[in-house]
Amino acid sequence: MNDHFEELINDGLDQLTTGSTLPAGIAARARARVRRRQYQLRASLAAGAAAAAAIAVIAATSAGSAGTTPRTPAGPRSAPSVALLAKIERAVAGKARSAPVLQITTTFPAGPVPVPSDPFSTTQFNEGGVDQSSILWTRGHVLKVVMFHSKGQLDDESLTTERGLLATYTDVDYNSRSWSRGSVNFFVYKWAIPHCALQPLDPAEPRDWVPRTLAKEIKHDIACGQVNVAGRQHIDGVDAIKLAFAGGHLKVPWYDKEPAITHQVMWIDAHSYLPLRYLSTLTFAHAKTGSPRSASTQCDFKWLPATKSALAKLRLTIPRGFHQAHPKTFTVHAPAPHKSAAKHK
Amino acid sequence: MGAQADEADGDGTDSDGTDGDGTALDRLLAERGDQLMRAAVALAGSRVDGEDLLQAALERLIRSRYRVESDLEGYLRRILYNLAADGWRRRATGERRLRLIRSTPSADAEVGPAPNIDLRDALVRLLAQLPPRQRTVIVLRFWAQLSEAETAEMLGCSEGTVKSAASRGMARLRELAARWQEEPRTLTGQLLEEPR
Repeated sequence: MNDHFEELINDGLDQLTTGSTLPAGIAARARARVRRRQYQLRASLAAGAAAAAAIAVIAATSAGSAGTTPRTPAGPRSAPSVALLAKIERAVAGKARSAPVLQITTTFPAGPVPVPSDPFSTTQFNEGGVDQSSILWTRGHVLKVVMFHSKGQLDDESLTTERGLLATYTDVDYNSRSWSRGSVNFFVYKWAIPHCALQPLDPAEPRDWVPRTLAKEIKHDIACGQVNVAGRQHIDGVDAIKLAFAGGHLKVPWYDKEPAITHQVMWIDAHSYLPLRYLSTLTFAHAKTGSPRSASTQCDFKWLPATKSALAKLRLTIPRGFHQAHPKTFTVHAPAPHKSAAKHK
Repeated sequence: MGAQADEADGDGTDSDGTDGDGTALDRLLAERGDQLMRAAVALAGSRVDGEDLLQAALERLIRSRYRVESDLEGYLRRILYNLAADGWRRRATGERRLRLIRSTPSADAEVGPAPNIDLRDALVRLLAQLPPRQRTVIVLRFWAQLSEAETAEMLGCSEGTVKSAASRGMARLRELAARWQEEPRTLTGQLLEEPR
């Protein structure tokens, strides 16, 4: 009976699969989806960078505003003094005026994180945990990101220039030894910031994307929550002030059933008062796998003077021998904001 | 949701334009694509789901290309099998998992008049009711003809786990098949059609 039963299963599956042929274009579709995910990642990075820079500014301004003074919890933490925040604000503002090249080195969580970052189809971020780190350089509307695999090999390199809602990009994919140019609509992605407790911004306002507006949003969040000085630490040998932001809920309109709790910490150089490091931790109370999961992303900042060599970081050279892939233009439509996306705080 | 409309943006091409120079993956798909598709269909239970499963596996392969030193097909199959065994955590996880677990009867499979053909078709449908790991093990053992050791290696588990999953899966299939033979309609509700 056993053999007969097994034969029947075999025959049944043979019958089911007979005539199945590989669908045309399946590899192209898979590559396109991977590429789109990479752009989400970069957009998230960009948002994280802008937000991190803005946090320092807002930490200063919010503490000085009536009704927004952070609550001081019991224990060693304390509200940052107005003087400290003013110093941070001046330092960041001074850097902004001199238009440096901001370099951010990011270390991603080691494994896949079930972030609801893709409104289209996926709940995975850094699927497979392949991308382990990236270096981003940005100045003005130009953003360059280089992504690395876990063993340090180059994965992908892209240069993006923003023009309102639309950004144009050149992308070099070291996996397929190809490059492409195209455009991407950022404004959907900015809603899916995976490591910032930000309220989704107004899709009707293109300028929402710029740090100034992000700063406004963060100010609002800080006004609702708390920021505390959590002591001093050495970061890569630099004396640093640790600022801890209380947890908030990640707000993604179309995934209101799966909020993530965010915790953000920023270390400020105790001498220059510029951000040194930003650590964001997401905790998924209702991860679809059924058990709580968390993941941390760390950003390390360097403020490079706009020298010739620093500006060269914002250029991209297509390696010899790479072939051109047909461009991918992401023309996406943002979903309408969900009512239940109201603030959780 | 409006965003869904983007699924075919710019990449819904019917020719793999990015791969014209013949990468290892393209060569593999050109040579072995149909066999891989058959495996995906067997694991997923239908051609539509099989295509989605294979595409998910390809995405993972593309993302992890640097990990592949040799045997691209083996690596892709391993991804495919593990995705299936894990209940295929991909898009709209819950919905997909539900589809995988409760695959509707294959519209592709013809139901023939002979009892054995009916039972064969029924078994394929009943297979869809097993937990993903049991189903995957049965497909690998009795359709792909892998040994217990090979199946265990592919799924990254022990031979004991494979043996146990196969045994439980087959027992459950027999139970379902016996009930189906007694009363085809009540066994699976809407999922099974009465044999003609």
